[in-house]
Amino acid sequence: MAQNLTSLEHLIQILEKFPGIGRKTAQRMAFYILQMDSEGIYALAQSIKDVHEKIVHCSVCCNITETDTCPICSDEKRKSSPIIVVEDPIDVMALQKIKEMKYRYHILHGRLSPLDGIGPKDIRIKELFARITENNDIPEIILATNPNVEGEATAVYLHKILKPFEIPVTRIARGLPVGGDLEFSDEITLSESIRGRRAIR
Amino acid sequence: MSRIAKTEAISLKNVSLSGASRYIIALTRDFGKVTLVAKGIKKPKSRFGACLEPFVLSEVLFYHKENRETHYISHCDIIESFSNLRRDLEKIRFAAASVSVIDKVIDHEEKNSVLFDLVFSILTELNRSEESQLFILYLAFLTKLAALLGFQPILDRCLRCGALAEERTHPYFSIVEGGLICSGCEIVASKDRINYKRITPEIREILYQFLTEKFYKNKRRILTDSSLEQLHILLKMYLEYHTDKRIPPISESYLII
Repeated sequence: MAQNLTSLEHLIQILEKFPGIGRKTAQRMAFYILQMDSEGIYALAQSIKDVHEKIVHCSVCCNITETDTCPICSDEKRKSSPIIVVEDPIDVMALQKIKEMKYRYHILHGRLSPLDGIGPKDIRIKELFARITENNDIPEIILATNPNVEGEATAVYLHKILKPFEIPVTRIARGLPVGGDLEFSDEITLSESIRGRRAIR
Repeated sequence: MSRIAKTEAISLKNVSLSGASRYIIALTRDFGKVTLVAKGIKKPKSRFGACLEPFVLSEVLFYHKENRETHYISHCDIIESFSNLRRDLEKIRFAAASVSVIDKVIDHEEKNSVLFDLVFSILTELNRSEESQLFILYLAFLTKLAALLGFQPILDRCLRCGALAEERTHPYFSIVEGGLICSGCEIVASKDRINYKRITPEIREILYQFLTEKFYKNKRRILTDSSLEQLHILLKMYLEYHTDKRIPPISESYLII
């Protein structure tokens, strides 16, 4: 970078830190920002500031929200509905696409990972415990952690520690994706789909 | 210039990339440890499915580019899934500890098919063994790994005077020199407590068995918990000294609440 452009270089260095953004993309983004008008620049800066200042974690479900408690937890229609346990807030956004039924959520903000040394104390399990202890309107807990080694370890662990509460604990189904083809599936996916088979309703 | 390469691979670790892709750090039979890029792996309809999950043995096809640190995967098929390692928390702990050690101590793209067989063996053993055997299997794995990397400890005689194990007691193990020190040389040994570690005849015996047996088969004779822990510390220090790399600890037991 040429001299006297330290502010631009600084912006490139910050943008480079974003996931999936390399040096060249960061440069392109920085030059785009440079060409934006003042209104656009201030709107961008303000929205980043707002996200930083206004977004908090819901004291009930640990989801990201602007009001504590979050709209999902304060929704009367969801009262006494099952709780879906997920790894990250982005998973709630995906699950919110289900229109048939209204659920409540609990966000762990991570998953157990023996490979990265992440244990139960590092994720929001304590909050889930407190929530179950304080409420007796939970008909079911659905474990919707990702179907990989870490998500599976988290689900097995949660199933073990939630047993004393005597609430039904279920795991989301695993197997073939809708529209997928049997012949292209691997043995783990196939065996999981056979093990998790159910009667036709 | 890239060429299509086909080899067996054991996934050691996955690192999430932006979007739906992941880096897969894998130990391969023909290329050693490699970093592979699996595009779109997080999507439900990904062609990779569960093939590249940690601890899975697969046959992978990838575009191998020389002088490049990452290579794109084109196709893969599961050879052995080690399904029990995905369902049991204790097995996950020890499998994770084993592959983490390999990830730490092995450099990129150094072919070593014997090492590949060792990793396959420990995953096979952990997959089929009972919970009470897992720690000792992991210790056997560390001992065999040290030997395979060229640091096989001398366990049949004193490193200083050459006195055979059956002639005299050998109460010390030298981390630096890699072997036993007999009771006659004890005065030298006892002054340096960092290098010389006290070991019991049972620990010496089990270390010897780890090295001489194909994998640890003598499952009737189990050391006490404190002896196992002592052996674990010794092996960890030994590997760390000789490889100059930090051996990752075994993650805490999730079963203790």
